Amino acid sequence: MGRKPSLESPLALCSAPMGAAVPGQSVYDRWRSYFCDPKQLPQVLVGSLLARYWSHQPSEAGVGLPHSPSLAPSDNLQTPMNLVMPLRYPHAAYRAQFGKLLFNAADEVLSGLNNVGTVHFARFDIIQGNLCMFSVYDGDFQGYIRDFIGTIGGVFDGLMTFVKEPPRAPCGEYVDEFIEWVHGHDMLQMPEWPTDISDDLPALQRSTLVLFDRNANMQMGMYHGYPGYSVAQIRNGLGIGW
Amino acid sequence: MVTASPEGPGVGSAAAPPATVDVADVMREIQGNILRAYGRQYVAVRHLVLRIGDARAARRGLAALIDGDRGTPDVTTGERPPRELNFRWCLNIGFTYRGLGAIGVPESSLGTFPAEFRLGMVARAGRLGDVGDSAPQNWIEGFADDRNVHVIVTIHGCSLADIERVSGQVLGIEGGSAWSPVVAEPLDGEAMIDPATNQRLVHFGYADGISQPRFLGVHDPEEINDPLPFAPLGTILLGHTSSLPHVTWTVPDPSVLGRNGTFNAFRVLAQDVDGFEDFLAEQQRQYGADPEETAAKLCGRWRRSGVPLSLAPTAADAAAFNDPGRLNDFDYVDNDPDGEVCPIGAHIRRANPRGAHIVQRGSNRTRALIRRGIPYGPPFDPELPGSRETPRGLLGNFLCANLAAQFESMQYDWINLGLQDPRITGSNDPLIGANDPAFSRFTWPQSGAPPRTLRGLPRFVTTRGGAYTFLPSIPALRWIAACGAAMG
Repeated sequence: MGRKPSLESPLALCSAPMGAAVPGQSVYDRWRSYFCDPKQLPQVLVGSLLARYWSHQPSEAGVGLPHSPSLAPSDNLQTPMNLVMPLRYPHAAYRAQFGKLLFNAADEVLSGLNNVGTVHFARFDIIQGNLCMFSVYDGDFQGYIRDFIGTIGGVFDGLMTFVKEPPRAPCGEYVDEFIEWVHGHDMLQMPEWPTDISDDLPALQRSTLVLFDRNANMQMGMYHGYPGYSVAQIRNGLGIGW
Repeated sequence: MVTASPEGPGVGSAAAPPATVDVADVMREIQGNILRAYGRQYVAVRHLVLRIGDARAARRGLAALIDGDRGTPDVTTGERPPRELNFRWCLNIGFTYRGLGAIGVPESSLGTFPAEFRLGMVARAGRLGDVGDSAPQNWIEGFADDRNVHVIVTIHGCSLADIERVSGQVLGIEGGSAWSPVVAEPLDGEAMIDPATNQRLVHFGYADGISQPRFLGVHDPEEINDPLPFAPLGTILLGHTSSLPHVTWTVPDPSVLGRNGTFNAFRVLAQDVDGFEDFLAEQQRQYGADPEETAAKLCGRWRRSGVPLSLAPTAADAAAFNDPGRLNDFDYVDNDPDGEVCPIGAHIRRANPRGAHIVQRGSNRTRALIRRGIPYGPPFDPELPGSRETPRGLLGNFLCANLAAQFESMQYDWINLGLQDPRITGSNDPLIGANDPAFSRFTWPQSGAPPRTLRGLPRFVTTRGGAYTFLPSIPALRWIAACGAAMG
């Protein structure tokens, strides 16, 4: 576990969640305790100012926690993709218009996702003016996106006309751009096992703060009811075809 | 004029391909050994991994390589003039992303290359299974720091002596100021031809390069017994209809630079022949399994002859097989769906599921690669002192139009995950996968008997180096050579 971080330091609030854990306390509880306790307010303010300053400093090290493939094959299954895309207009009529288009295309979307073959689930949500597409897939991210384009790219082009700064259409003709656009709208995913990252707390403090400053949306933790299985393995096991 | 219509499922593109393509024109424009392999007389190869020193000198050197008169080295095209059919050497040139920058390709063009090429093979190591002993920090000196890997010149020759002479000329261009080697070890390979079968072998004893994508107008349908359809040119070349439905790969800008170019994953792959033979012998000791049958199950083809299990399920069938023109005349669609004959996890079935039902429906042929490889190191001889420790393996080129969609997806999803079929998901390719003996397994069903499972497979193939390169067309090479003039 490495060194125990001191909560006296304003920076400690950044390092503690990733560098140390209180036994029995979940990642969520730890973050909640830091940000909801009034005594932590000065630390939060100082930390935020530092984050904003550091965010604008050039850094050799990349900021972000890209999904890194694992040697263990089963670790490359059940990866989430959480797209958060601001709607062009958030008012009710516009959202209803989007809903109508989506419902009309439901058959095509569902059969397309079925044909991708590696999707555990996918759903569209509208959350506070954002169109969200949350899905869990198996295998290679870029492979997923390319297969997605191949099966429902046309429908997706139509849906994307509702979001601000949409990707260039048709996405099948601008694949690389589309993949980068999707990557840019995919919420940052915090590691499921934060202590795996590093014991180098000073480095972690700065990078963590910058990470939070640059990423308004994050996925923090994920539970797997059937870890290490692909959607095709589950379907095969249930005898429902794959 | 032999033309190829934009067959396959692709649609129009940003850089719209013409309705029909004059294949002869394409062959004249592209480098050799891409759509059509060099002849069997070119038994030796050398890869020069170079760092560009003086960009102006490198551009002049490149111009010389394009317009050489065969008295000096020049780049071989896909359609060499007939008088040169018996020429003693062929030459290809590929640039890494950093190499394109180093020779003077402007930023505005560099930024239009796909991300995986810009990042390079070292940065993508995790996706390729290059971890542990295969990780870049353990590669041959010179490869790991890919900032210095700019150009790979590949010379095929009828002998190593031919290659020696040409490589000396290439390195001596512009008085040696254009480029210099960054990998000290010579990357020389020499074909291993089995006198009995006349097949080119790799060190494990398998015949190599049997199954490759075929292209209309390039390959003769009459000579090919393969139920798989012809591949669209865009499987390998940029600017043509791709093999992925509704997807067209972006052609780097300007079009003259990108069109008819192809990407290459160059790999130095060490093969642990000693470990492989030990594994086969151990299976025999423990379970009485015939080593040749075990080797055939791991690959999907019998060693030396290349006869597929699908056509010759037993050793006796393979011995009686006498039709070398039918080595690809099989499919898994209606034949052997459960892998009783050719295991689903066998190397050739993983890498090329042919028409079989797979998880990623419709993607069966979208990850196709052209493979051009020649072994390095002497054949393994357990009786010869020091043979076990002698480096040997394969100098491989894996060509495709999109490294991420084809080479990387193949490595990530199919070779090292087995995602294409739930019955092998979570296992690696038994021959080339990133296997760990603690977890590895290889299973196939047997009619009337419990499934057979092999465990404890070690990693037989280790990556020792490599780079992503772009093999520009001949017009693109001219454009690159003139970049300095364009920039004033």
